[in-house]
Amino acid sequence: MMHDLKSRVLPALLSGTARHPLAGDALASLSLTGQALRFERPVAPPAFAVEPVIRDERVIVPDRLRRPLQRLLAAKPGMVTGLFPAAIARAMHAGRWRPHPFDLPKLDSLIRSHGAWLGAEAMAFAQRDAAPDQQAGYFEPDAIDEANWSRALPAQRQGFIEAVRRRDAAAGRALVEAVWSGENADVRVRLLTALREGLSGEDTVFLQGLAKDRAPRVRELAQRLLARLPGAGGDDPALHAVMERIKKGQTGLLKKRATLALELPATVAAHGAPVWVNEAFGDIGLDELAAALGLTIADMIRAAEKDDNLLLAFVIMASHDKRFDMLDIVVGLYLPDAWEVLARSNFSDVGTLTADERARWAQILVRPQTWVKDVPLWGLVKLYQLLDGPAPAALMRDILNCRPWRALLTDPDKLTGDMVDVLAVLCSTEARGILRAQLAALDAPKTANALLFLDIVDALEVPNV
Amino acid sequence: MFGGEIPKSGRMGMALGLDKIEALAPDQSSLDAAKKLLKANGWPTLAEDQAGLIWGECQGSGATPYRVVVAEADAGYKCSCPSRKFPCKHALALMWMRADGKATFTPAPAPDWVNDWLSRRRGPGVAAPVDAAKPKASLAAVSDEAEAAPDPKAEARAAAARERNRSDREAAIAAGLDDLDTWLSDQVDKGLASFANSAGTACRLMAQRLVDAKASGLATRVDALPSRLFALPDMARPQAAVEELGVLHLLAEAYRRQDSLTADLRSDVRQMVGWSLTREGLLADEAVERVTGSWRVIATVSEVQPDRLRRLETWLFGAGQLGSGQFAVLIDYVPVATGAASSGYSVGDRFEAELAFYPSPSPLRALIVRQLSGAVADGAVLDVAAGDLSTAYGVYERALAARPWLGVWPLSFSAARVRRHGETLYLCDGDLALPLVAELATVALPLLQVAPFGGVGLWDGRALNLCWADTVLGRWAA
Repeated sequence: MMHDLKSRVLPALLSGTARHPLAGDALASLSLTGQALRFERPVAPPAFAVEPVIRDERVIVPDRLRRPLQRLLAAKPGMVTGLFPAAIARAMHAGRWRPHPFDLPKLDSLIRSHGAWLGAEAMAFAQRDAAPDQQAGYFEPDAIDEANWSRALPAQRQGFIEAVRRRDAAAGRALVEAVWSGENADVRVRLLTALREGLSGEDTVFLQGLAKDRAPRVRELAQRLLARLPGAGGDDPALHAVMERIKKGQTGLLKKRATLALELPATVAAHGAPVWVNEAFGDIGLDELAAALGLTIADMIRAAEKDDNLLLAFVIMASHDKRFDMLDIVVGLYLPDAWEVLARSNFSDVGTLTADERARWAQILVRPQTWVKDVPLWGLVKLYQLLDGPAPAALMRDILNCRPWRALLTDPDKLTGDMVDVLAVLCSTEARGILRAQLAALDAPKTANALLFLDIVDALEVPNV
Repeated sequence: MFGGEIPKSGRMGMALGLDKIEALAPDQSSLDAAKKLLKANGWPTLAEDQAGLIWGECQGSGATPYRVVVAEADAGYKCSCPSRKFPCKHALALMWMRADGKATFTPAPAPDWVNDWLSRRRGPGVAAPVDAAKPKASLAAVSDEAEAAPDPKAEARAAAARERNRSDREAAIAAGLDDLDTWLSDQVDKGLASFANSAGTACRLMAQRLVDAKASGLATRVDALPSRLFALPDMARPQAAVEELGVLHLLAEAYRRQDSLTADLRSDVRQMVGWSLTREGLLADEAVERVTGSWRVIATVSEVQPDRLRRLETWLFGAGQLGSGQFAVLIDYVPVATGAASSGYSVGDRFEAELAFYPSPSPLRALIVRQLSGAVADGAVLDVAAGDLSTAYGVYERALAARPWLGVWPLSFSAARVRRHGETLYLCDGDLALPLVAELATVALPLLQVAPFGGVGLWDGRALNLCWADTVLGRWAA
């Protein structure tokens, strides 16, 4: 009967009984056929996909953290709430935790942005829509070695080369040279950036060979690196450009000393100066500029004591060159609000600073004891982004003790949730107790996200076994 | 630290006073309505966190109790009811009971639904500002309504009017069914292969005719037909049109012959056509199946209908003294404009209750007669039948045979697994492979990595809405 229904009745119903009349009641045929079809069991596909087996050695977060994580990361992304995913990913990575597999779809924005730091299964989920040739393998940081490093993510490859360069610059360069021709432009830029670590004359030949690289940004970066090498013969257009704008003079009656002043381009307004300074001086070394001016670095800094833009330039260059001694002089003696100005300059490249070096760098630059009126919210957001993690403990204590923050605690109507949130993500483990005590007296709506975040990271820092 | 504990801040409870409640009430009738809810036995749950939050569950007129939470510090509140008054009578009643001091609020950690509300609050509370210009509502003016003495003559007149209305409606429906058959014949004449392409206008007109004929259930079904067809792949639409239109004629014929049907089937087909069975009517029927036990919420479904009502389904599974387990679905309809998008229950909640099932040869729809305990989140594995997916599918087939217009049916199974073919996921066991609904394409992906598991899904005849899986990694819910 089913055969008759499908071979005679159904075709007539589909094409129309006006053209293919049915014997008997057409509507009864309709109902009977429809019901018969509903009793047909679904047909299984001819074959199913073979799913890759994903081995993830990390421990899944405890159940009690799952809902709080979803709640925190479901918050509407804003200037500061956007930092929560990065901070959570960092804490999970440090503790070797991974999200529960069933939560991966619910944490999609976290997974897509930071999947590489959340374990193999999260990474596979983040790459689920990528073409097979664009999918990267997952590696725990301590599992990357010279045999497998070229299969890791580009950011991980850069970090690996930087680490090798610190130990053995020549070995690091050799690894890069071995894979160079097979990499795309993005990766080549990253690997070349990694060579800034331990840059020396021994890299000259390799860098000179990049003059004919097919990617313009690779060629430009190679030229900039060459220009920083003594005797490499590199023509540094950036240095030439700034030298044309630095006016050198003299002051003093008995003992002459140099003065330096920076002339901004006519098209750059005062409020735009920090951005221009960052772009103009970002690729120049302190030594290089001092040599071009015929001064020692210390004298060069002293000569610019009245020019905040030039002092900012020295801050930027000293940061790139890891000259913390010079940085301390500039900030300590001449530019106490260096951090606030740097935050407005689009400065985003902390070069090859290690985590410890970044902490030291921040400790020098950020001086909460000089803050008088306001806590610089945007500056703190920038601080987290550049540190890529919490502030050093001593700095955090200074921030929580600074005058404008303590004033806000006594006038909570002026306090925003954003301010509380950024302090939470910046807060080092050692300072959390201070921050919790300060937030305890405030309204729940402003502190709920921050306290939830602190609870979560506290739990993630408990060693997983 | 978690699972109910709210970050402690300076949120100490400030007592809610009766004057505050008066000031908040939108009008006098809200206070009158709130007074009727002051009986503690109408609140299976009344709790507090001893830091300024109170919450409760209140059995209203809907199928599911309403969940209410109030922050005492600023009288901020949230209720899951669809009322357009703010605050609603449930929130007012909760505050009133608190202010009165006569009801007992059990200290407890705040459940997830309270914490979720808290986390979404930013800024001052949502209490409505006091409007000095509006007439003030007054607790003193709240009336205690006494039932009027019955008037036999008035009751007789009302009964006669009801009978006339019923008779008129039956005639209207009969005419509507005739028009439906004419319309179906036209479609069959033209051919159903391309019905989906022109279904929009045709169905809208027919639905309107059925509304006029007071066959609202059929009208909704016809009105929703185009979107149901367009949710399917192109190739599946012609056959689906045959099935869907076939069911329409089946319902029409069954309605015409209802006197020859069993009582359950007769009641069922009348409901499908559009006759409502009120809560009072259902509870007054001694033949109605009632089941008391412990119920787990296994799924919640929310769907906007073409008539701008939101259909809220709360699917339950009962076990324990019920033996092999029984499913039930609670259905509420709320206007979309109220913004209410869920019943208030969360998947995994467990509560004790007596349910009454609407008469049907395959009983599924129910309402809560009385809730015997508050709903609590329960992480235990669901005690489903040990049968495989094919066995569960056989149960569906028997239910379909008993109730030919069967819609969604729950399948409980053990030891099935999810597999992928192309972009579609399937729940597989042996030779049976049921495609999952497209909406689960991402959220069910992690199940590809999991060993065979037991669970529950809602099968609509074409795709499975997998809603619960107990796996080696714990519970998965859609």
